[in-house]
Amino acid sequence: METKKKFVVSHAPHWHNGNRVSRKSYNMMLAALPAVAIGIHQYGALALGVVCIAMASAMAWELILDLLMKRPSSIGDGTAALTGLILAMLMPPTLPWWAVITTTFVAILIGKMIFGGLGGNPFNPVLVGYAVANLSWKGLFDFDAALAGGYTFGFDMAYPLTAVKTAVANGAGAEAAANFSASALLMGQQTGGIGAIFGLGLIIGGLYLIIRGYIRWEICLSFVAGIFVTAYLFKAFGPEGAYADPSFHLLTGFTLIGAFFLMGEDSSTPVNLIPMLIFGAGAGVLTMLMRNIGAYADGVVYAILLMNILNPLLDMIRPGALGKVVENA
Amino acid sequence: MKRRSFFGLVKPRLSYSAPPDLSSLPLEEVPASRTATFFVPGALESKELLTLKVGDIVKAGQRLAPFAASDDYAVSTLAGKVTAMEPYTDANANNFTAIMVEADAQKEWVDALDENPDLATVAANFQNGPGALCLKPVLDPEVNINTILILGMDQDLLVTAVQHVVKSRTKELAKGVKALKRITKVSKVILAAPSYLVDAVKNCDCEVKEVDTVYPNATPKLVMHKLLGITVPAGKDLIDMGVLCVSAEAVAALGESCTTGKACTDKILTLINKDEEAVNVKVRIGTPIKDVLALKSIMVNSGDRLILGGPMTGVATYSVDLPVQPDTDAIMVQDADNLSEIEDAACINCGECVQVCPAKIPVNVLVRFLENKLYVEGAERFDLLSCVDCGLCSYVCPARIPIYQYIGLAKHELSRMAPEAE
Repeated sequence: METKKKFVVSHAPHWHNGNRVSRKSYNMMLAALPAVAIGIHQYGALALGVVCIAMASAMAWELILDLLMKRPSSIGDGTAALTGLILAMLMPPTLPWWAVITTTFVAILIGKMIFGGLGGNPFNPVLVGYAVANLSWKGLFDFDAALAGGYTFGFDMAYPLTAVKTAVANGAGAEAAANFSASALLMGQQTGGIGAIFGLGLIIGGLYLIIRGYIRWEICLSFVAGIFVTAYLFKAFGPEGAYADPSFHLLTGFTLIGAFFLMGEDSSTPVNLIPMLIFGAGAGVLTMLMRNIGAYADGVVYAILLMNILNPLLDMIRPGALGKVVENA
Repeated sequence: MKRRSFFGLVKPRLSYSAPPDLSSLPLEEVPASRTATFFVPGALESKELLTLKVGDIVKAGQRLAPFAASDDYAVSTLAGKVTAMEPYTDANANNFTAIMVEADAQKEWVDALDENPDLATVAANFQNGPGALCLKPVLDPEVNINTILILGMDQDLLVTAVQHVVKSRTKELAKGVKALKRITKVSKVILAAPSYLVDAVKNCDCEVKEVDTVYPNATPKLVMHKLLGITVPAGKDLIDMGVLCVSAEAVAALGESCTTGKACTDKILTLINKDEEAVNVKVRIGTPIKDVLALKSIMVNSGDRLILGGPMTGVATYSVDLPVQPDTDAIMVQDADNLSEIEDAACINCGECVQVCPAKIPVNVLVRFLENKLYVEGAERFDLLSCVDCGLCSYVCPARIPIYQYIGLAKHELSRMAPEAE
């Protein structure tokens, strides 16, 4: 059976829905834009600088490390740019350029590349980078200290979580939180990370990602629910007036960016229903424990990192497959 | 090609196509070809030992049994002369002997079949007929078949050949069901058909169940699970559960043969062109694919993909000279510009395959094991053998990993390992 024409022979299926890894990255960047834009609007050119350096350096590190590790170039999947963008969203606008570049280096190398690239990382690279940098240069990442020099805004410039944290120690957390109205927090009238201050923008971006199916709603919503319920329990059963409202905790710090952008990382989060709910709720509970009785003003980063460790274990809770044979049953 | 919907929150719903309105669209017939090719299981090693030789004259309906030691054979669908015998290996590495027959002017048929054929005759004759009716398990004394499941539904998207048979050949189908019951002495016969075809099969003397038209619900294992309430354990097949699964086209062919006394040589298949327009045509088994394509003037060029079967589970093949086989329900052609690419990427753990898998397999973990050739672990710990072969995991994978191919390879390797272990 001789044939002159050479056909493409490949295994089924011969259709694909057209999705690819880079689509998720670009859609997440798109969803982050409203929050980032408001951040740049509020903090000015410094913030723009941080965003640009973070994204550019993250991409550069990915390229360089791919070369050094003799791996095929993975810059095209857009995850390096996304890592840079989300890192910038967590940073204060005054962070010096060398700190930004070091943070992205740690995120890309230790967060991702040494595990074999995207998909192999047990932790969210953004969180690894941020946690290492934050522990190294605590002063640079302190929002109150960072913004004290050059900025004056028409609203309370204290970093809400630090203000409340100090007040909680004196048993007056609710009073301190009352200084920040929910609408002001929602509209970006607060200090914080470049992309973390505009609550409404983050919610819109997050809902967009959920509807498009790029992030898993089970994780996002259970995280929000975990924070809300734990904060409510603290307020209801703690000493009178000691703890802030649940709504305050939902709209400050890294809660929203955590729910939609940090939890949206695939490799370090579970995929089955029950594990996803446990993962999200667990991170929410841990966050609130750290905020209300722990050492950190904002616990989102460490809470998610801790849950990342549990991910492989959690994901073993899964539905039985069709016709699964249980041995020795 | 079906694209990911804008709203990605819900998992993709791919629906099977419904057959066209028969009154407005007469079934086109592929003109009889001068040659036909038939595959007989078994490797062609030495031509001297064969009982069939090049140059032999065969009648239409005659058995082509080249191996004296084996009871496998093909049935010629035309009268003529054997012009060539060549080895052929299919996509699953099974060896066949291809026998080419060139038509002569005689058109002579072998002796007519009995009106009430016995089981052995039917089992022997109809596995080469349209729909490839395989009754061997009924003959096997070690297997107890208590139910026959007739699938009145196509297995793949865009394909409507079997449904076309159910819709247009109701009388033959009813007669075939009766004959099947009488021949096999199996009283429990269940016909699975989509809701819009239930009316067409109401005269059949069997239980009719409605198949959901969302892919892959017509897959035999899922039909068993959802309609019959029997879950096939991982690693077993329907036969192990006492259920014989046959195509409605095969049953209709049996019904027709009982009336005419002749073996049925024509089958209906769905021809899908590069624009994914599907049309059903009638074609004689053994006809070269190029003659089928010529009917609709479909051009196939280098770099295109020629698929026997539908878009999700079809087998891509390499030559237009290959014949239409008894179980070829569709021929699909894809243009070189529209081929979906496969990438050698790592799993990013997005979970889309896990959500879409009808068998609830942890595909994200399984694929990591299969990529590293850990097939036994994949089967024991991560439910490899629960797979129902729908291909949806590869269809949704954003990293474009050929997951379904890994699964197919793993199953193949495990089946090769199995006899060694015993």
